[in-house]
Amino acid sequence: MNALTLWFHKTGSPPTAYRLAGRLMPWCYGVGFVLGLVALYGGLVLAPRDYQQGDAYRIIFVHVPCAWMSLFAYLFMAANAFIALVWRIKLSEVLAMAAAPIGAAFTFVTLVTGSIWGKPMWGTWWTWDARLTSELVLLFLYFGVIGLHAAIEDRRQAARAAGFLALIGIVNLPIVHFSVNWWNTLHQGETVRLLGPSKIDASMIWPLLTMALATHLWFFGSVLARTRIGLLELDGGKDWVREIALATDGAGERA
Amino acid sequence: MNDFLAMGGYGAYVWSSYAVFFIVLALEALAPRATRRRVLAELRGRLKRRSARNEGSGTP
Amino acid sequence: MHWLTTALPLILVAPLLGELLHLAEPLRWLLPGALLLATPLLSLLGAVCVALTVGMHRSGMLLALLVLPLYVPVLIFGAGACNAAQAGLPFLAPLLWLGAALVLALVLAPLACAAALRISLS
Repeated sequence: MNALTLWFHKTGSPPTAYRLAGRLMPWCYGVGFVLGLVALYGGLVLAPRDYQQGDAYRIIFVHVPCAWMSLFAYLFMAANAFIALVWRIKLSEVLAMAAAPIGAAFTFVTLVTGSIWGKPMWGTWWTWDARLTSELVLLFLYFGVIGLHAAIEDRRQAARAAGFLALIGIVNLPIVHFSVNWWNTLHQGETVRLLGPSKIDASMIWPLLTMALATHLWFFGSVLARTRIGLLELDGGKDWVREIALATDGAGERA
Repeated sequence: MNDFLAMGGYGAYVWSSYAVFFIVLALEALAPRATRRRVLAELRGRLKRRSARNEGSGTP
Repeated sequence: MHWLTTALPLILVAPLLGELLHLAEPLRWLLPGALLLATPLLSLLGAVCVALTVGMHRSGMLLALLVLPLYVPVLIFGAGACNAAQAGLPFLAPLLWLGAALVLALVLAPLACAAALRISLS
């Protein structure tokens, strides 16, 4: 067995993953938080007013990164669900299920901030246009995954069933992303592009991208935190978990 | 400063959006702590019950 | 089987109800047509979700939650086709989407059900 395979297997083992996650987690949260503050400063203070929307457009600096995260979290969840179902890797099961509540939170924030933004701009809190509806569907998909995962006793079976559901629901992701192209929507079309120039001013795009990075890091911080808990639940009977359970008791942590 | 808070008249919308963003993400990050405490407490309970049973049963 | 008892009667009655409610001309056959494409799709999606929850007691609420986000796109395309026809706009595209989804579901749903059952009953 070569070094890479060995490393791969070791990292996949629950106690190692638990420890690694514990070390990375505070960094993810910390750097994410700092970057978030930088992005907020750039977006709220430095960036100029929009010629059309005035200062209301500044909602973009939270709305769009959350929207991107809602899709990214789902992809992360689905990819891990796929790995878990095909190769039966325990860590992937836990990672997939850890991503679900975080994705749901981001989707919720996307919908609410979008609604708040829509009120002054479109004159309405909600409309059943393609993008809004498909994003709402995404929220319900997340709820379904979380609900199914909670409803099954055996943790591994729960993760596999909920992961399967997540994979079925993945058809919604292209619908959300391309909805502004495929339908006549009230929602704005693409302005930020991955390949090629974006239709947004430089002073506005850097806080946007910085916040996107910040939310990614925050996401990973949360995923690691929830993964640690998931690993504890999964390996409840094992020695390494027992040590941790008894150690925290000794440290005076109240139950 | 007042201009900053007023956000060109859109203050209520902008600040409530940012508030939702912060509050939801903060809650989302804090929630695992409570879960972790609960999971560990349950595990400890199970361990204590098991060790009590083993001590109690003794010889078959 | 499920479809024969729940959806087929609806499809057969739809033109008559349309007559009763003075439904516009293209919809007279479009509505039953869209239902014909959409309802089997709903049954197939429902079957996959039921396969996921088969072992549970009182899975009703959860089942509704699982099935809802999968049903919404079907509803959007079906109702979209009918709305477009009422407004005099072209309505073929949503019908084609429904048709494509139906064909995919006919092929994949049995496999998905089998996989879901294997997971639920493992």
